[in-house]
Amino acid sequence: MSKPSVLSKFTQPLFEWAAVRYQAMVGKELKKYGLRHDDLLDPTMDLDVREALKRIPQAEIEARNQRIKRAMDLSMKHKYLDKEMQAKQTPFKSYLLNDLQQVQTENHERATLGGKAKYNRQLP
Amino acid sequence: MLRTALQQSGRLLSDSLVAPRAACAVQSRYGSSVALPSNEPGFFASLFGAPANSAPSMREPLTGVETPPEVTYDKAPVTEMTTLSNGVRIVSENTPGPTATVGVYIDVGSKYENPQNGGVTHFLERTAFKDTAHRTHLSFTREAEAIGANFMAAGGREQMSYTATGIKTNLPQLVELLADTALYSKFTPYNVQIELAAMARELKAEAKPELLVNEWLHQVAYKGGLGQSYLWNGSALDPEIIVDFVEANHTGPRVVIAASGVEHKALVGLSERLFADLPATAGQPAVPSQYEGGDHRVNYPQAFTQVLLGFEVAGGWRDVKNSIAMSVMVTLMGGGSSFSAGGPGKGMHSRLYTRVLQRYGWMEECTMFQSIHNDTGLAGIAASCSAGKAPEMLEIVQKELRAIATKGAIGEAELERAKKSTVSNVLMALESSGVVCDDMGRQILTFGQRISVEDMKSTIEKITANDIAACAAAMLKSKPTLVSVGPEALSLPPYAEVCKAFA
Repeated sequence: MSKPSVLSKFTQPLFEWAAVRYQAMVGKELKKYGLRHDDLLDPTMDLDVREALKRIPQAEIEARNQRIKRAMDLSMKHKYLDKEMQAKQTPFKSYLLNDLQQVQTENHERATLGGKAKYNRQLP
Repeated sequence: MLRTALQQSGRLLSDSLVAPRAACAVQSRYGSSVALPSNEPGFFASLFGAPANSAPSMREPLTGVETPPEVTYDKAPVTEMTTLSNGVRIVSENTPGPTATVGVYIDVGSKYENPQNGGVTHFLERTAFKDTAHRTHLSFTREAEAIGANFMAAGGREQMSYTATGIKTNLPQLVELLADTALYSKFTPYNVQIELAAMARELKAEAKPELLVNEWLHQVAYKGGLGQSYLWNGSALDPEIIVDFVEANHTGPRVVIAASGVEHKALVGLSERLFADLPATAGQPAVPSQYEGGDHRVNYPQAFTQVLLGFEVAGGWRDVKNSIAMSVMVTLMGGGSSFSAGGPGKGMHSRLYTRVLQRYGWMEECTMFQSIHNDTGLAGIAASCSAGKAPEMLEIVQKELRAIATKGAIGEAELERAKKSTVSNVLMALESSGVVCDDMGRQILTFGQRISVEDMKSTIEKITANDIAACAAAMLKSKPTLVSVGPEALSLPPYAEVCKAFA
């Protein structure tokens, strides 16, 4: 983290206060649809996410797909998830961010050490 | 007289090296057109300084540089061994030369596998030097390139080795990279899947019978550990299975670090900390192997029919005298392929050449093979011929095996030639520092100590014709192992007849 400057001594507590509330709001919205934060990471927008999705166990992929289908269904019916189901949700439980970080570290290492790109695909 | 001749011919080099001032005088006398740059600072150097591009003269030694002491190798290097507290053994020999070879030798192989994790040693050999807990594959490659080192992994039925060769001064990097790969390789589900898919493709492309005969020989001959196929057979290998295997078998007493061309203290200092994490347990025991012999025939459409007839060499390497007699016997029998350019030292005077290949022109190949392991081994004759002659070929192979087991069948001259040839093969192989390192590592794993070159030489020289005949006779008492591949494989005489021929 960067060295705390004079200004950040004032802005940092404000930022933390806002961050906690923002995270709670996002969590509430995700719970309504029964999604996790990592489900929002889109492989069609980021090749690193696509690569990371290839590395996680198949069980996680299947659960992710089912959550996304459930959320699409709820959205189509203009409904939210049941109250007792919403209580069970864990929107910030991560399954993808570690592998995503690993992919980004590898790409960075590849760029620094001068290896050729592992694959060369463009997003449509 | 030589000096005057040189002077007169105008070659002043030797003079100028001895006395620079005299050279100047001589130059002016002969008017040499070569502008020898003189590096003595002129008058103006003190005012204007020396020119920027004046390099030191290459004709005088550099001032202020300490030349290293001249190296003399009047004593043969000694093998030194240290055992760490967790059982890891470190052995090294300070062979002369600029390169060093370091290896990690582990007592693990396909002998320790069961049907659930079959092929895991093959997998480990293929994924050596890839992702580890501390560095990615790319990092490893770049670090290896930066020091210009060669890395090699070789797996087998009983021993696994990871070796590195490089310049002596890079010893710390070599040892660290080897320790990382041997102990901390990472097996993520993703990488394991990619590697298994690559292995499946390769095995499908290369699964030709001529390459698989050695596998079949062991699978037929042995029941248990050594009968387990080394090559991966397509079974599912999860990361948990692989990690369990590695953890169960990579233990202190089963790891040996060998190096040639390094100082022992330096190596111990480096390895102590890197290998200190290994547990001091004995690890998982090997699956016991039982020799049973047998028959395996494959009717494969190829040009030649191949036959391998083998027997058990009881005692393996650990019966040192017998295994050395076996090695001399293999040199004595020799053999090879009929399409051979020949020449001195090619072995065309060995028994299988003079008695078989030179008499029967239709024989494509006839050679003695051996595959000796720690406690047991296989040895026999492999032959191959073109169509129509397979039963006759099998007869000839049986005759040769019975002949070598007969007392008095080996001549004095051919025995001496075989012994000298074996000794020179051993000595010539040990010229390479890589082979010295391998020799030390594998011998410590098998014997617990290294048999010195002098001992080996004297044992070879003491072998008599009766020793070889006895060794062969003992071998022939076991049940034969017959593997045949080719269009005529099924038309060979039945296994029972082959057994009767040696009864």
